[in-house]
Amino acid sequence: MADYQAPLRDMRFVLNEVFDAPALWASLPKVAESVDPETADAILEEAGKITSGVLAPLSREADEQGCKWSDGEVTSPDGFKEAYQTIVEGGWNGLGGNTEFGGMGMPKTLVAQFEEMMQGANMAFGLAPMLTAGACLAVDAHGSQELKEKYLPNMYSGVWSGAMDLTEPHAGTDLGIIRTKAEPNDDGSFNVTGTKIFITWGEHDMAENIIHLVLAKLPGAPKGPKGISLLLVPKFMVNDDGSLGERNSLSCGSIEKKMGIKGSATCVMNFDGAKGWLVGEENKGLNAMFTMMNYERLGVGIQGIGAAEASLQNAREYAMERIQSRAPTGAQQPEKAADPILVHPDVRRMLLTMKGYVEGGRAFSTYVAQWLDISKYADAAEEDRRKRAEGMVALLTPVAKAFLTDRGLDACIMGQQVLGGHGFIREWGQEQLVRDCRITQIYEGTNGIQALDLMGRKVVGSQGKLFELFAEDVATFIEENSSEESLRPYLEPLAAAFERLSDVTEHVIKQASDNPNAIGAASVDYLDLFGLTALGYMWARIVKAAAPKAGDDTSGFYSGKLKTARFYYDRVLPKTVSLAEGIRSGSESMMAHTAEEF
Amino acid sequence: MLLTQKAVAEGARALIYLTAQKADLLQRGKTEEERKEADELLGFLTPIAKAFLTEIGYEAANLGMQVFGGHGYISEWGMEQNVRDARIGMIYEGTTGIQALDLLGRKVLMTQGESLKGFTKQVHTFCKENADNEQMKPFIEPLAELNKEWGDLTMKVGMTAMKNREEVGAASVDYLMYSGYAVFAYLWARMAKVAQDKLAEGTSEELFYTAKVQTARFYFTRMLPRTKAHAVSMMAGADTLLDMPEEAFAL
Repeated sequence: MADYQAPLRDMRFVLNEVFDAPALWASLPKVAESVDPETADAILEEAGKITSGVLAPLSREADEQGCKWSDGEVTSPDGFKEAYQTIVEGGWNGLGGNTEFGGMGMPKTLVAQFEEMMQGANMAFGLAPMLTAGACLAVDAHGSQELKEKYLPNMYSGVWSGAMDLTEPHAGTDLGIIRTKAEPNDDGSFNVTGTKIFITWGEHDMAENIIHLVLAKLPGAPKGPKGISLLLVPKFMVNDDGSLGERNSLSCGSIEKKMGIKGSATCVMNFDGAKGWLVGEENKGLNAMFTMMNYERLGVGIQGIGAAEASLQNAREYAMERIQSRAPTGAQQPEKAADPILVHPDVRRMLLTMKGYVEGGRAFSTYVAQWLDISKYADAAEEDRRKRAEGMVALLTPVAKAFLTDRGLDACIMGQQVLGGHGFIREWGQEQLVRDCRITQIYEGTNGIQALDLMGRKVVGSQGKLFELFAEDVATFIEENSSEESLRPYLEPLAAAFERLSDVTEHVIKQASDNPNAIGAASVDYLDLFGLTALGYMWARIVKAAAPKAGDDTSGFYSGKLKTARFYYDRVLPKTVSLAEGIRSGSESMMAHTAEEF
Repeated sequence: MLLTQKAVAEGARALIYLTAQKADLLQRGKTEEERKEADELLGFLTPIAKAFLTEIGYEAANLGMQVFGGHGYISEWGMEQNVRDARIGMIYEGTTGIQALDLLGRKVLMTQGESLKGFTKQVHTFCKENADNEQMKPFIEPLAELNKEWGDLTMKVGMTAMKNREEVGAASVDYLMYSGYAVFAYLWARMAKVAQDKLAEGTSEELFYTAKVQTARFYFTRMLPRTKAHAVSMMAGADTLLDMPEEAFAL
């Protein structure tokens, strides 16, 4: 099993050479206060050391050991407590946090790289800082000044961790039917009662306090999603002087046995009149969540890329060392008993497909992060710039979540296959990555839900206006580079693929006007089609950055980029042809069966 | 998700029985000719049965798990075990990649396409027999077209392989998946025909047969288009796979 190495070379390439992130940061005054290229680079370097050196070595054993539950107490796997302290010491939880409360104010374009390293190194562990950062986002965006001052500093530092308590046994996708109640007290607090399930790191031994963000219904709240409120419920009460007080009346009833991310505790949380405070307004709980949701969706997409990168590193190493059979064109290493399996076209097909998804996906996640940064930090005067960024965020985040996790899993499965029988054996690490990655297609809104959001709410809902924002960005790129020699082999197929996507988009919008099933029937294939095309756009932008340097490059980094782009266009992008046809067949064949006929 | 699983499970059952039928004929066929024909078809079908069914079987297992949402990830529900157990199918008894080399390299190209013709001939006959059947049109038309394309693509790949042996390995997995979908199209068309005939005759199991026709329709409109991507990809050539030097992989 390869030792996980943070892919800093590629991250620097994407940030600096493909997207010129430093120029972006300089254009956002609030960001420019906190970061410059040197600081960013130092952060990347340090993050690389921690993720590769501290987090990655724990992952395999943690998967074997899992967490232990005993009488409401949860013990994390060996080494996790110490690793968590390393995160706390570096203030990594607060990397993207509000500087007013002790966060570092780093832009998402930079934070996204740290997140990928952490998730690739050790997803089970990485979920704790990830959920803490998410909880901080919600509190920072919607909490009262009092709540922010009381909780954010320790959450940014990580001294207190965060958890998101939404799901109930009967309510996952459909949060409108949750039953957890919040009864008001005279002092403005609420007593929260109910049961939540699937709460990641809802209970553990790594931090002295855990701050739960809980969805509940107030008395008399309207039925459905419009009756949901968000409350902050701490494990230990916090005194006015910041010290910890009594234990609050919530407890972990049990932890789940899961397919993967076994090193993390997935908790049943029982709230028994636990004291909590409103975050945001009454009945506006889902609104409060939405702010954070776009960041979380990108974050989960990044988990998919992280796992895929780890799998690729293992697969690559194995393919170069494992000798088996001879190359079709004759022995490449005749002095050995056989050739390294890298000589076989099909092994290359798997590695190059992985490379296409991982490197293209890294570029796409950074591209989406850019829009998040502009939408959050653009100057008040730059109304148009901010609006455009918000539109891009709305359109692209469901794609980032679903596409990067779907392709991330595909990549992990291929990475496992490269190892043959050894891919099925735990010690080699590949099958764990498949198991860990699998959850990313389910939580934070299943990929089916992401597809409905993209197709229904974002594309059809805006009558194509949001789609046009993205189409314009691609069209501008194609036009601006039409005389670029190195890009010519890519611009034509990119334009063709984009036309295919546009045609299908128009087709579905039209169908949806009188067929309520049109959106659901098209959605999943549409998201796939969108994602594949978007990655094609990313690969064109990668070629633009790499081509000028490929001639002089002896390392193979830049020439490798060009060749991977070629592979992506020749072998992967054609999948869009099939998807378009499937979508055009409409909803009839999907909806014809009665229940009995199933 | 459910319809994809249904199309896979029921199509797979048909392919397994077809392959088993050939195995029986090989053992117990009455004439030398019958046994020989069965042997060739068996040789053609087995790598497809092994590799295609395990690949789409895994996809179907994952879809089944996805229907369960978060609960699908929890061990007690059994769905994730099914996914984990299914994974070995693509690896042992000769990996998918090896089955693909066997199908394209050994079985098809080394017989100059004769073993493929043995199968496409049967498909062609079936299409001709049902050419005037209005109800079968949604199946026969695409099947006939696909059957022809299958032969054309095979010839094209064969020709590039004569110039460069690495073309076989480069095209093989896409070729195997394409072939699997094509075999399924033939089997689903046959099942649709049987079902339509039963419905026309009058049957006490109307739901069962109606469902067969509908699932066939789902297969043809939603899954069969995947052949298009595989067709393009398999003709993309070996260069994009082999150009990249080893060192560039290490970065």
